Amino acid sequence: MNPNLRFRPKDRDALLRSLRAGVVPRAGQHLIQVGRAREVETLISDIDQVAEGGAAFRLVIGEYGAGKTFFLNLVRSIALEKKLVVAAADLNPDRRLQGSGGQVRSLYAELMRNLSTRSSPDGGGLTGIIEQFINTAQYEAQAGGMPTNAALRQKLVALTELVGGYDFAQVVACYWQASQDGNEQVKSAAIQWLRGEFTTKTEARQVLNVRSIVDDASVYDQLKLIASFVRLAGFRGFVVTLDEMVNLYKLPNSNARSSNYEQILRILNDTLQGNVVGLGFILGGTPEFLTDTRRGLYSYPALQGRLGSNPFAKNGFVDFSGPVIQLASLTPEEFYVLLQNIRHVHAAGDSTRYLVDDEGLQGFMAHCQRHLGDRYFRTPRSAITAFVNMLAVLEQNETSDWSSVLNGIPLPVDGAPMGPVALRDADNELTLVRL
Amino acid sequence: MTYPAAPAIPAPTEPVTIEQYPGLPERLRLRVRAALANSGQWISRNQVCTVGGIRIAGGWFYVGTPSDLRKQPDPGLIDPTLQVDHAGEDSCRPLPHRTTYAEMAPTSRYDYLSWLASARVDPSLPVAYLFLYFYGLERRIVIEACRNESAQAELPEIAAELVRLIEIYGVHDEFRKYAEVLVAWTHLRSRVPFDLGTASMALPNCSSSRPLIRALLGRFARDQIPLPPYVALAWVRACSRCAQQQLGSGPAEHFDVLFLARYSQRFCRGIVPRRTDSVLLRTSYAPASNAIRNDLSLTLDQVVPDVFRSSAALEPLERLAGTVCGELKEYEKYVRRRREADAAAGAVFRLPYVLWPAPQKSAVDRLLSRIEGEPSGAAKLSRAELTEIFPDCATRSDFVALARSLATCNLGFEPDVLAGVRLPAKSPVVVFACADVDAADRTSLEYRAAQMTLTIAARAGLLRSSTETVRVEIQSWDDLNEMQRSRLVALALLLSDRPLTSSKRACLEAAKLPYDARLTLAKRVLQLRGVSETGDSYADAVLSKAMKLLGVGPEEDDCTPHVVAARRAGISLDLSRIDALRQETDGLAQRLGRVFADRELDSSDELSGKSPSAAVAKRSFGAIHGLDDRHFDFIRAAVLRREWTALELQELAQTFGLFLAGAITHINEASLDAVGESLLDGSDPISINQDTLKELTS
Repeated sequence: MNPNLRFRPKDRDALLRSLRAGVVPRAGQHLIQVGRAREVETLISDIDQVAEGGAAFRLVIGEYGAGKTFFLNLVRSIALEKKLVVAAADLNPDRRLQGSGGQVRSLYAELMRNLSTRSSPDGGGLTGIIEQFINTAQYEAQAGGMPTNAALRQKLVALTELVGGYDFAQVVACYWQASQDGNEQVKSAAIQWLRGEFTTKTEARQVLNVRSIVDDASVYDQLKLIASFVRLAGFRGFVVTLDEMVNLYKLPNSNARSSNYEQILRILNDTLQGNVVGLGFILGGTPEFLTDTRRGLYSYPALQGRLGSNPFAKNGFVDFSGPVIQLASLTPEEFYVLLQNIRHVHAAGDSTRYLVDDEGLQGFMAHCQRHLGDRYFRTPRSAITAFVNMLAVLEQNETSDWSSVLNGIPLPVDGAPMGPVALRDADNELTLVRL
Repeated sequence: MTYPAAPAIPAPTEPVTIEQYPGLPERLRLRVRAALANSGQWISRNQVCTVGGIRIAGGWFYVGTPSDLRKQPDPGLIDPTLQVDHAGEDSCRPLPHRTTYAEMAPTSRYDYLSWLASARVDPSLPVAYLFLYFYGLERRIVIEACRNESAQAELPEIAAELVRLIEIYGVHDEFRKYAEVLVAWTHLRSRVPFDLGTASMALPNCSSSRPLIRALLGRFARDQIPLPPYVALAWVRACSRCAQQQLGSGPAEHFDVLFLARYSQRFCRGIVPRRTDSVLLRTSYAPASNAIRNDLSLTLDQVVPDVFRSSAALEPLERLAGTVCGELKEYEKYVRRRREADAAAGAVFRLPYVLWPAPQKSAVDRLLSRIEGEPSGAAKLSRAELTEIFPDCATRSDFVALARSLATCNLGFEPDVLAGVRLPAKSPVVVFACADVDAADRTSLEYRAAQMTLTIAARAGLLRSSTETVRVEIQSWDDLNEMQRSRLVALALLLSDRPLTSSKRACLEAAKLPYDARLTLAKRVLQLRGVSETGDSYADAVLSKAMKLLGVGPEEDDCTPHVVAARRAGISLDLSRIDALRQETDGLAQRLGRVFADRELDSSDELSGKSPSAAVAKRSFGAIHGLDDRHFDFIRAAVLRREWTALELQELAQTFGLFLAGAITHINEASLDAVGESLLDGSDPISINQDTLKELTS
């Protein structure tokens, strides 16, 4: 444990609150990150690449409970720290990369709702980005002695070269004009258009005088526009993180799966070929989503060729230069170090304030093993929640000992349904059997 | 075929030797002649007699010379004065159906005496000889037993001899009829009630014998003696409507044999007929022997209950008859559908086991011996092996019939075709010993849950370990009875080599069970996982899915596959691995620390309550990097209050020519760059972070 690493009480409390609630923390992940240095380094280099105007594409593959979401959130935090704009969303049956029933627009709207900057880490950063862009343009216009409108058009001219860029620039200009006119309705409509909430072109033409809207077919182009726009607004790049990609794998219709995989191929090709600027995609999914040759990405030959593992990366050799990062489940040793980290954060970095010694950590692990089996380190959510709860009890009852508290700590199994029978996971059965 | 041998002959206590007349000394001749003067002498069981040079043990015939030629001579009387030819040429001459000893040829006499000297089991014996022997027994029972105490005492033994003869020579209908009637008459004539102790005997079934049966039943009812099977059968034949229908439609022998067997099984000691109103019953006996005519002994008057008048007395037997008819129904249906079905292959399997022919019974014996050789009490047979044992069993319905028949001899059959389980083509079967197949209630909740337990375990490959291990585990399931456990052991054996397929269907079926049953099921599957020698990660994965589908596990310690696996493994931490991880993590922390440099403060910061570090102290509010004049003026105005509404702050921003959201983003970015914290928090109201402000202005 790094003894020099100290934290603010606010960070500590936020982190512990998240852990105690059983959710992946949105900040401070780096304080408890265990191992995976090579993987983190790889993603940091990807973010640097995006920040420098490049592009990146990564698939983070791991079993349930392996820490994909934690890892994506860590990457997201790093990206925010590096002054990138991050949009995150989870895929589900109604949010896909390709579709014709509004699923793609729904995904885009979710991404825009979750658009985060360092100053708005919880999403809702789109308005701030637009207004920061306008403020900058106004400042430049004032400094250059030119009308703000002209300055805006001048800055936005770079966007018009992209697909759909003209309308995008038009909407941003409308936003500024409406502000000048005090027309809140048009301002609101411009934000709605940018968020993909317009459903008809007629309405868009009437309100904003543009001929297009963000629909299922134009989402990827719109993301590329956003990536360019945030750079104009003063940010360094745009990172999109998509979790639960396994939902594409679960699509029952093979044509629907293929069209989504085609979209992934398009993104992959664009990023690898350098056709996009300042845009990174990080996708999280399970192994079957990648390797299943019948329904996974490998079922699409072009993707299988691009995403296939390096045949030389085996027998201890690793290769992180490929687009796929494999996350293995935690081991007991990694879980032990994780407990040490949490203990260190709980004690605010002061080793003299540790509430549980190393023996207590092992005792806690034994307790977890008795109740959860090896699930306690493979899917450690409930074990970590229990550990933070135990620390809270020990903190508030100074005379108590960890061994006396341990047996009263409940350990619900993570991820398993409670009470009524859950049939929604039954679809996984086929995959499981085939394995 | 083996026939029952005559009872063991006791050592002779009073030997009687009768030589052929010419060879005797004179004084002996006189004595013998005197002794034989009165229609012959009865040779009892323990006496030995030599006639015509043939030494005959076992007795039960009359020997003597007819003294009164006016009377009809006893046809069975062995006259030692008559010639016996040991090597005659006419021994093959056909005999009349009825004859007398005196009328027989010397060679025939030799044959008859030889049979008497033997065990008296030769099935090829001419029926004429049989009647000769029968005449003696009849005379002893009908005539002598009324007058002679020693004859009375011999009645049970003689009746048993008659039963033995019926078993061997019952194919001769006439003889059988007389013998059966005589057995019934013996019961009536015996002062002491007796039971022949046989389950294969039957009494005559004809209208003429009905009074005899009626009197006999009255006798048993009067004395309150349990009915022997053959008497009960006679009653049922005479009075049961169900039995009469059956006898009218199907072969009588099947009903008789099955009824006798079931009666012995159901009423071990026999049922006692109820007493009803007594009536005077007169019963007559029609003898086979011409010598017994017009004798008072042929009629018997007795006051006994008339059970024929009471239908209630018959009720238990009526029910039993109904059961027997039900057991024969499938066979009769099968026979009706097919011509010459008796010879057809599958007909025999439609019969209850007791009616099976000897070859099929020996096949069952072979099967039993094989099962006895198995430690689990169950034998797994491929379809080819089963067909080898029961060659005639070909169709699926044949197997169902076979299973039903095997169940009657305490052999269970898996797949449980009797419970409606479909028998897959070419799949193996398991036959197992089970004391009472019907006692294994397959509809109980516990059994269904246990059955699904094994199905799911088989899908996960947990039953591939040793049969003994699984058997011991199943035997510990104490909410099931012994029969159910036996069936489950057989099922486990059957499923042991099933291919690993999806458990989803079984789980969805099991998910319909109540929660407690599902919980028990889950624990047992995991117990099997625990003892399994073949379980692997695949099994754990399948079981994990199964637990989800079952909806059990989270709150139960023992309901997660990994618990079982990890408990076996125990905790063992690799310290060198921990050290390496520690180093890697520290290195990563430093790397991330550089990324999050502004978010981490030195230990001398506010945590310790001391003043900000020198580095931070150098940052002044006005020196926030990147703020232009408008933003600078705006923030200076904004920090005058701790909190603003969004509208108020927007108006303030507009006075500086700024868009509020953009201004907040810009200022917070700069603030984060400077001190690692946002200055403006919230959306509406928007508050000024005083800590950040303090740092920025310090």
